[in-house]
Order: sequence, then structure tokens, then C-alpha cells
Amino acid sequence: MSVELAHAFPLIFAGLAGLLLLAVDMFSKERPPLPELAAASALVTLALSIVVRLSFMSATGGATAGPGLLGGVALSDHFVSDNAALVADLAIGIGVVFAALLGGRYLRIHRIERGEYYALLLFAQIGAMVFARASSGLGFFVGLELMSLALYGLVAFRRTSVRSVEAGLKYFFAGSLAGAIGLFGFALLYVATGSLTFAGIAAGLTEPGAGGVGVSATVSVLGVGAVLAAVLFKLAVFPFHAWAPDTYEGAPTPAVLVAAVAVKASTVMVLLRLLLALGTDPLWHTGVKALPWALGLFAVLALLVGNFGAFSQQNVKRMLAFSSIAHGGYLLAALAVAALVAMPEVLSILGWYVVAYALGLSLTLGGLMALGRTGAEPVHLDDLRGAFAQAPLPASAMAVGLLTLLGMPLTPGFIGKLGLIVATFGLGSEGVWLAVAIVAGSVVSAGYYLPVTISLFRRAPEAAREAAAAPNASAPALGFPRLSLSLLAALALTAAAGLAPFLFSSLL
Amino acid sequence: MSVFLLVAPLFLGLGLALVSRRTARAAVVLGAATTWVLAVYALAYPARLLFAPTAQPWLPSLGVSLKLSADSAALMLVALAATIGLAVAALGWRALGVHSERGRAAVLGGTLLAASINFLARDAVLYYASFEAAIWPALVVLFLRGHSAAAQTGAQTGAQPGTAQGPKVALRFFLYTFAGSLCMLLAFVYLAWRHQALAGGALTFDLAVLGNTVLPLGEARWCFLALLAAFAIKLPLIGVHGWLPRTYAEAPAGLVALLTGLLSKLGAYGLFRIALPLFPATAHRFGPTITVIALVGCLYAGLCALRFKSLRLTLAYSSVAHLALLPLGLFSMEPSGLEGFMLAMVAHGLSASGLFLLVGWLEERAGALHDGELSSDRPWGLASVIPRFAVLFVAFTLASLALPGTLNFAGEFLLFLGGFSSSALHPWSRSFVLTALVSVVLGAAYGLGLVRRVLFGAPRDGSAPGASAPDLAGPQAWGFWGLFVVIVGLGFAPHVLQSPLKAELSVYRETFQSRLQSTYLDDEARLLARGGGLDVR
Repeated sequence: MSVELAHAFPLIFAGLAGLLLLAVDMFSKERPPLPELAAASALVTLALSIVVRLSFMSATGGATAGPGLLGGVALSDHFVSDNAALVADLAIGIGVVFAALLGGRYLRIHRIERGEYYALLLFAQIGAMVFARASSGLGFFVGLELMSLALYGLVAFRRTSVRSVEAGLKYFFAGSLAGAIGLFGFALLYVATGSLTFAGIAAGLTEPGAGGVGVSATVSVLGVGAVLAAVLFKLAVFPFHAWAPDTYEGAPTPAVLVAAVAVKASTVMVLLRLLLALGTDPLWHTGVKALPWALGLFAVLALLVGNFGAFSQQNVKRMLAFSSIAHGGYLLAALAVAALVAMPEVLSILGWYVVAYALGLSLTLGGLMALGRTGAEPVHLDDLRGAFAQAPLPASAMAVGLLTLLGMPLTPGFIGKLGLIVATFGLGSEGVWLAVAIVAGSVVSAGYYLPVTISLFRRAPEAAREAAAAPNASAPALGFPRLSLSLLAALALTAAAGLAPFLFSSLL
Repeated sequence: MSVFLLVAPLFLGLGLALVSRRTARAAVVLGAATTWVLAVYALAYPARLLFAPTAQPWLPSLGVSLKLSADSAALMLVALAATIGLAVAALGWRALGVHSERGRAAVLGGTLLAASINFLARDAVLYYASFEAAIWPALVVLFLRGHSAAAQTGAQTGAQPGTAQGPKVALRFFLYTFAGSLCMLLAFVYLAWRHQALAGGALTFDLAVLGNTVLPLGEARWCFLALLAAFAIKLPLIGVHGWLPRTYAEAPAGLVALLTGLLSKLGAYGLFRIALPLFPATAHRFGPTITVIALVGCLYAGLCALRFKSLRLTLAYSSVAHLALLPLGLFSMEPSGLEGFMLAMVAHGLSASGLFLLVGWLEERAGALHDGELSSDRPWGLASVIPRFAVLFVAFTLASLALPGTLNFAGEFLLFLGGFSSSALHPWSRSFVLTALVSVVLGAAYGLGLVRRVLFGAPRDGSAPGASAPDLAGPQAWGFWGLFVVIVGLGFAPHVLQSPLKAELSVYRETFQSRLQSTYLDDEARLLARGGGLDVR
């Protein structure tokens, strides 16, 4: 069996499992345990990808096995299975597993429980994994569309809700526009360099006229700009962030989890691969290093818009949307450095950040879903008051999740933030300003994460307490051992990653 | 034996406390007592029970490890933490500001654990994390109470809930400390990165290794100032003390005992353990300035304590004034000054937390949760109503004023001696000491004034707080007396604390001096190599 086939196994399994799940849902008479099935197959995909990574590393001896910083085995001209892709798989897998396990109750109490949801989850997983493996313009577009198509369906899954349909439409228009712009960018780069693969593009850009048809540098600048714009769209980074708040607010909560985590993890890793291929100064050869500085600028702007936008939000999901803009900014800051200096630690740093983000968001949104009652979701700050007294486990999960997103010490989020600050110093003394921006952003973000956390532990308002005490009130009882067990598992995983990160040192 | 054993009882105690409601208090007490015994035993017999430094890799990719090491200074502060923890558990358990038993255990146990790890930490990231984690329990209590207090006063006065001070106090406290600690984190990461760039090899956050890095003075200055920001806010030095008065006035008394007794030590200890060893030359250069700022603050805080009639505000500012004397001893770099620094920290921890625990008892008897009811410029005349309390209150007040015979006197005397005989600090260091002596006079004025207002004079009929309640008696009174006996006992025999420190502090001094020399030489060489030599910034 060839090595390439082993590297394709996780993808093959994920695709087959998604199709099988559709068939099971269609042909079974009784209602099958779809959440468990979907979570199990997502877990197996994750496990396969971990096995591939570990064997890959033991075979070649070290985290940076293979050529270059990321290593990797080419699956074709257009896809590569390297360390970056396999690290992205971790975060994607975490997001999908918890969206499947925690989403079941959400779907039921919102009366949208249908089997397609779980199949779409698995398709989103394979789409994100394919996207994370893209090593050419073609692979980029195919992966992006494969991931996005499944996500459009998930975001608009509540067809009866105007908000959800609106969210789906906005997500669809923004996403397809981003895909088109990315495609256009790669077309321009093909014109300029005569190649679609990242490596070929990089070679063409460093030696103008080597493989291209001798067009002006403007074309290649436009091409790189358009590709970056597509990526920034997907990361929801300023100035391409406007779709995020409405989408997050309207979409079903489990869909938000997948959309945020899978897209961030895969996009960041593709961008990392592209930037490492392009090198520091691909466009003008003047030593200005325009690309890293542009990324750094967008990162700072995203930090400003995201953090200050989140500050005044009363709706938790909208707040999380703005905070995800800020998280995109943090990631972009580290990427700006990766573009400038090929720092050996950069993969570990980005990996910790996306995994911590996946864990934090799973806990936050999982807690939010578990606190929901029939037909209503406690998305307003005041709805969350007294949550701890009524339902300690979901409220604690949500609190830990929010602290992880904030980057408190003892949570994995801290490791992510620490890594980012370390990374920014790769720029040298100029990096201090990016580091200061990250730190200042964290201080501001405490101003919106903490009030939500605190309100979970406050006494409920009088009216809510009376309603809860009324005999016919439906307490937000968990009812499902699946739900509490998976919240506990998420908590345990977060605690292990935050307190004893050395346990995961072979993975990240 | 590993240093992990020293904090293991605290960790286990905290874990056990969260399991059951009924045994929560006992578990925390047991954990603190075990740690106290271990720490004191290790202090008394350093050869027999040596806590070997340990390092467990924590985040290998970034060079972070769980590195702990227990020398005498750290052990002494761990013992202080355990003592204060026991005192709070015994005397101020209900004044912690939490309703549930497990909540109280979590607040107390969590603070003790984080502070102890902070004293022992020898890795920059671990140090930062524990520095941060130490205030989390207090912060959570402040936030939760702030909201409920705001809701209460809102309901009473008919005002909008949220317009009251509560949440704002907590937020201010949080923003001050968080901003300070993040500056510290930036300085650590910058130093680690520069170390890697200068020395090569992998990234590391080991403080012992980082200490060997000599940064150019320009960079060292910024790093030192960033560290100073964190420590000055926690101590607090004047100018960045803005979070303190309202926090001490509104927080539950048991929590204030922890804040002033234990958490303010994190700031002073950070200067001693982190800022000075890492940046000796910069510390040497800024030392006189910091000392002067601290002494000016000392006078200012003394005047504030004199001016405010509120019991808690007077005590809060008196605490600031006494802590502001610490830099004098530290920057003097004299044996006596450094010993005084350590002794004064221990003494302040014991006496200030004792005083706030007494305030907590009084407030509980009076049924008054808010400082407003305990602030009055008319005398309360408590001495005739609750005489046993009055005796204890006078005893602890005199201890905090550094009456001869108490540990506070030994500490502050050594501080002054160090400042007076120091040649390293400043040519004018003797006038610094004279300024500090003025603050002692001020201390007597506000301390005795407080005693007069609270204890003596004609009581207003039935309106004195706690007038109708029983006097302090039973095990609680014995607890307070025990704490006071410790202060006086150590005051009569300060060598018990001094002797384990002597050798270590002299090594500390020598290292500081030699690194100071080498830094200056190094910097001069660098300037010469650059062809400048005139460019002395």
C-alpha cells in the first residue's frame, strides 16, 4: 500500500461515513441514534488523522518531518497531507464531534430534528479537511466550495425562522463572493506565473517571466490581493467581516460552532502553507516586505473592530461573532510573522490557538445549547442570570469556555495567546507593537467575556425565578445522559489541555 | 523530596473541600496546616528536609516548565500564607463574602494555592500564571457581591440597580491588576525572545537562565518598567493605588484580610525575586526614584489615613503607608535592609490581616455589611461595651504601628537601618530615612486617633455598632490572641526569622553586585564597540 493512500484514508472514511449516514437515515424505520453515529464517525476520522500524523512523525523522526517547515506527502499536485493539515484536523474534529453530540437536543427543542443535519456535519468536516490540504489554486477552490456548501445548508437549517434564512442568505452571498474572488485571484496568478500550485506560483513570482507570459507585476499583485481577500472573507477579518454578526445570530447554534471552528482552522492552515511557499517578499522584490505588513495591519484592524464591536453587544451569539472577528485578527498577527520569518514553532503555536478556540467555543456554545428551553434560547445577557443555580454543569461549561476564549491562565486559551505573543517577537523589536496590540485586545476582550461569565453566577431576576418555581415550568433539565457526558468530556479535555499541555506535546 | 510536596497538601485540601459541603472548611484548614508544618520544618532544619528544586516540562514547544524551588525567603512566605489562611479560616470564615461552604473553601484554598506557587515559581510563565490566578478568587467574589450589593442598595434607595459602586469597584480592581500583569507577561516574552536571539538555542522561560541575559540598557529599561507596573499595582505604590481604597472599603472583611495580608506580598516579593535579579543595572538606576515615590506615597497615605474617618479607609491607607516602606530596605542592598524587607513583609501580613479580621468580627456583630455604618466622626465608645474586643483592637493597632516588642518594630527598624547605612542607594539616603521617620509619627497619630474614635468617648445611645451584641469570647478570642502572641514572640526573637535568611540574602546581594558590575562593563564595551562611547543614554 502506498504512503499516499494511507494519508488519504481519513478523507475516504469521512466521505463514506457521511454517505452511509444519509442512507441509514433514509432507510431505517425507527429513529436511529444519529448524534452518536455522526460523532462516532467524526471521532474515527479524527483518530485516523492522528494515527497518520503520529506514524508519519515516527517514520521520519520529528515534528517537522518531510521537506520544509510543514513536511508533508503530496496527494496530488493540488493536495498535500502535511503537519499543518493534520493539526487543522484536530480542531475541525473537535468542533464537529461536539456539534453532533451537543446539537441533538437543540434540534429537538427547536423542532428541526432531521437526519440531513448530521450528514451535512460530516460533509462539512470532510470539506474543511480537504480545504486544509489544498496546495494549489484548484485545491483551494474545490476545498473551499466543498466546505462552504455543507455550511450554507447548516446555517439555514431552521427553514421556518426568518433569521436563520437571512443568516443563510448572507452567509451564502458573502461566501460565494469570496470563493469567486479567490478563483479570480488564482486565475490572475496563473496568467502571471503559468502555474496553479503554490510552489509554482512562488517560483514564478520570484523569477518574473520564468514561467509566465510576461505580464506586468500589477497582475500578480492583484492576484495575491484577491486571494488574500478571499481568505480574509472566510476568516471574517476587517474589512470583510460584515456578514459575521447576522450570520452568527441567526444560524442554529451548533451550526455556528462548526462554521466558526472548521473554517478558522482550515483557512489559517491553508494561508500558512501559501505564505510559507511565497516567502517574505514575493511581489516587489524591494525588501519592503509589503505582504507581512499588510497582514499585520489587517490583524490590528480586526482586533479593533472585533473587540470594540463585541463590547456593546447584549446578545451572546452576536458577541461571539464579533469576538471571532478578533480571534481572526489574533491568528492573522501570528501569520504575518510566519510570512516574514519561517519560525519553527509557528505550527505548534497556531495549532494550540485553533484547538483552544475549538474547545472554548464548544464549551461556550454547548453550555448555551444545554441551557435552552423549548423554543427559546437564552442568548440575552439577562436570560443567562441564575443559570448556575438552575443548571450547574452547562453553566460551568460555558464559564470555562468563555475564560478559554479570553485566554486565562490554566486554560488552553492562555497557551494559545502566549504562543501568539511569542510569535510576534519573531519580527524582532518591531513585533513589540503587534504584541502590544494582542495584549491590549485581550484586556478589552475581558470587558465583554467577563460580564457574561459573571451573569451566569448572579441571582436570577425576580420574574425568572417565579417562572422557574411555577409548577408547569419546564426546567432546563439536561434529560440526556449524552449531553451531560459530552459536556463533561469537553470540560475534562479542556482541563487536561490547559493544566497539562505536555500530554499533547506529540500532537501539537 | 520535591517541592511539589510542599504545595500538594494545599492542592489536595482544595480538591477535597470541593467534594463535600460539610468537610469543606476542615479540608482547607488541614491542607494549610500541613503546608505550614512542612514549610516551618524546612525552615528550621534546612539540611534534614531539603525540598529539592523540581522542573517538569509543561509546554516543551515553547520552553515552559513547571519549575519550583524553595529557598528560605520563599518558604517563609509560604509559611506566612498558610498562617494567614489558617487565621482567615478560623476567625473570618463567614466574612469571606460567599454564602456556600464550598465557595468559601474555594476562595480561600485557591488563593493560598496560587500565592504559594507564586512564591516558589522559578519559571516566568508559571510565575505569571500564578500571579494572575492568585487574585481570581477575590475577583469573582467582588464581582458577584458587587452585583448583589448594587441590587440591594438600588432596591433600598429606589435607584436604578447598577448605579451603585459595586460592579465598578470590581471592574476597576480587575482592570488595574490585569493590565499590570499583562505588561509583565510582555516583558517576560520579550526577555525570553532576546535571550534566544543572543544566546541561541531553544526558547526558554527558566528564570535562572533568563537572569544571565544582559540586555542593552535601553531595552532593559522598558522591560524593568513593565515588570514594575505589575508589582507596583499589586503592592500598591502611590500613583497606581487607585483600585485600593474602594476595594478595601467594599470587599468582605475576610477577603480584605487576604488581599492586604497575602496578595500585597506578591508585589513586594516580585520586586525582590524577579525585577531586581533580572535587571540589576536598571533596578540600581531606578532604585532611588522608586524609593522616593514610595516614601512620598507613604506620607500621602499617612495623611489620608489621618483625614478619613471611616474605619476601613483608615486601615486601608495605613496598610499602604507601611507597605511603602519596603522599597527602602530592598533598594538599600544592605544586609539589614534586606532582612528588614523580609521581616516587615511577614509582620505586615500578620498584623494587617489580624486587624481586618477584627473589623470583620465587629461588622458581623453590628450586622453592618457596609462601611457607611461604621464610619462616623463621632466616637463609638466600644471600650465600655465590648472590652475584650477593645483590648485586642488596641493590641493589633499598636503592632501595626510598629511598637517596640512586636515583629513590625523589628522589621521597620531594620528597614530604616538599611536605608541609613546604605551606600548603594543614594547619597541622600539618610534623608530618605528621615522622611520615613516622619511617617512613623503620622502612623502614631492616625493609629491612636482610630483607637480613640472607635473605642473611647461617650457612646451614642444604643447606636454604637455591636452595642447590643456579646463580646468577643471563646475560641475566636483565643485565636486572635494566638495571632498576637506570634507577632510579639517573633518581635522578641526576630533572629528566628533572620538566621535562616542570612546566608541566602548575602548570596543575593553578591549576585546582584557582581551582575551590576558585569552589566555596566558589558554595556560600556558595547558602546565602545559601536564607536560611540559618548552616547550614554
